[in-house]
Amino acid sequence: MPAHPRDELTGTRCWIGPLDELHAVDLRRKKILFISMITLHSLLLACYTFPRAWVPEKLRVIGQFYARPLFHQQWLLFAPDPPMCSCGLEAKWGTRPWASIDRGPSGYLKRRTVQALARHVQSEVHAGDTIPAKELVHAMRAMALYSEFEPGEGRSLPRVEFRLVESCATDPGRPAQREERVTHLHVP
Amino acid sequence: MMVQWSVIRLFQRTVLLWVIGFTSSAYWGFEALNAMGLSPLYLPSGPLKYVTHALAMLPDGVNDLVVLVAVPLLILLSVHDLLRAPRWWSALLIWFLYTNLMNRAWLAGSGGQQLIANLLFWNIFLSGNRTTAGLDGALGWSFPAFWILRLQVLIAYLATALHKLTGTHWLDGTAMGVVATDPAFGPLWIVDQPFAASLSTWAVLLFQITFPLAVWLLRARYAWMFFGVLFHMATALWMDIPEMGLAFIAAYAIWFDEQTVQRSVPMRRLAGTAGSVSTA
Repeated sequence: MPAHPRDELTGTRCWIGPLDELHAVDLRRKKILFISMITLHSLLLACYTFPRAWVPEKLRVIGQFYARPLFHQQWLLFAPDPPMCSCGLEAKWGTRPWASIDRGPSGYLKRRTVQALARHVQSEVHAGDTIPAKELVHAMRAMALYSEFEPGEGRSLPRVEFRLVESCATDPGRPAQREERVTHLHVP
Repeated sequence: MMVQWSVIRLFQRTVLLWVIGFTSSAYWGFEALNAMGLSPLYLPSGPLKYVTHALAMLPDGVNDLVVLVAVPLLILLSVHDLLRAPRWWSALLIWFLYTNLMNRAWLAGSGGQQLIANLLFWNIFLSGNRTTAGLDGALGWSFPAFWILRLQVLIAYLATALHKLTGTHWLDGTAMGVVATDPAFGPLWIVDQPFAASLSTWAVLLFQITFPLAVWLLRARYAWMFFGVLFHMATALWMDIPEMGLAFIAAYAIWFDEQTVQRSVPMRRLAGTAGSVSTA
């Protein structure tokens, strides 16, 4: 039985009736429920975002099942190591020379998209595949040809060649010394 | 353990300011519309994809038209909730629109954008009726939401720190030099100062490891947040990831305490504690 609280105005002790007791029990249960919810959510999120080596495989799968649909996030941020090779995608068609696929004035979203496309292609190339996924090729082509044609102009799209240009640091102690690597991409 | 109303209001306003700033700078105009459409359709499994990826699943052409409506609507709702106490339905709509736009342009995504999507989701439970949300002293839905939001910031720091510990360049002090010489990032000047490059590498790693511990001590909390603001502003200025740094700075507001907010005039104003409480 909890101690009777004092009335704030008169200082006299208040009577706690059965309804108040029920309320107190309800509050306690609610608190336990909420704290369990906070703990469970945070633990599952940790299983989803922490390195594989730190999380048992079963918990990682459960974390993925729970967090991926609504709470997706990844916190690599240049981890475990920053990429040793910077990268960019270049395109050419007709008589045009090789140039970045981002030819127009760069908006924030566009700059980031071009960089992400290059990183995806780079990871494929590093895995030994010089034929980028068709979804990536579609995006690369659209980016390269954007602003080259007026909408509805009716011209047939030219055949575009692509290449991945990387600038790689060979010694992390002297990262400014970089060597350029060019990989021609086989685009169907 | 109690939920602090002025802290919540400060947090809501900083996050909404981020949403307005980012949406109007990134998604505006036909150029952005074109860049958005480049992200291939990539759907997670499960029925929730119809909520989080609804926009991306619309046929080409139709979703472009929807974007033209969704972007100004998101900004309008955010301005509304910035000025007036948010209702649960407007917070829900803001999360829905923001998440769908972000998922449609996922190639241009970043951890900062994902962080804000998570913050906006839990913000739904902090908005609206004070009694059901528990902002009038009762134990309501704001209690778990408030603590999940606080822990979310810590999980982000802890996760990235643990990932860095599994590599080599963050430990041997060369990571910042490698990042700085990448033309996509910077700042290049740090390469001429190898000691500064090593020191900043370890300082970042130490900051990310200790932040989740330091915030539990009131005095250390503000010192770490101050360093965090400097660090995130540096990444915003030099590394071309402004929305990432500013997202973390916006999220810091959830770790403020009521007394600090009440003591500072600009913060009290931003929290708008007087007369902004919804009783609907």
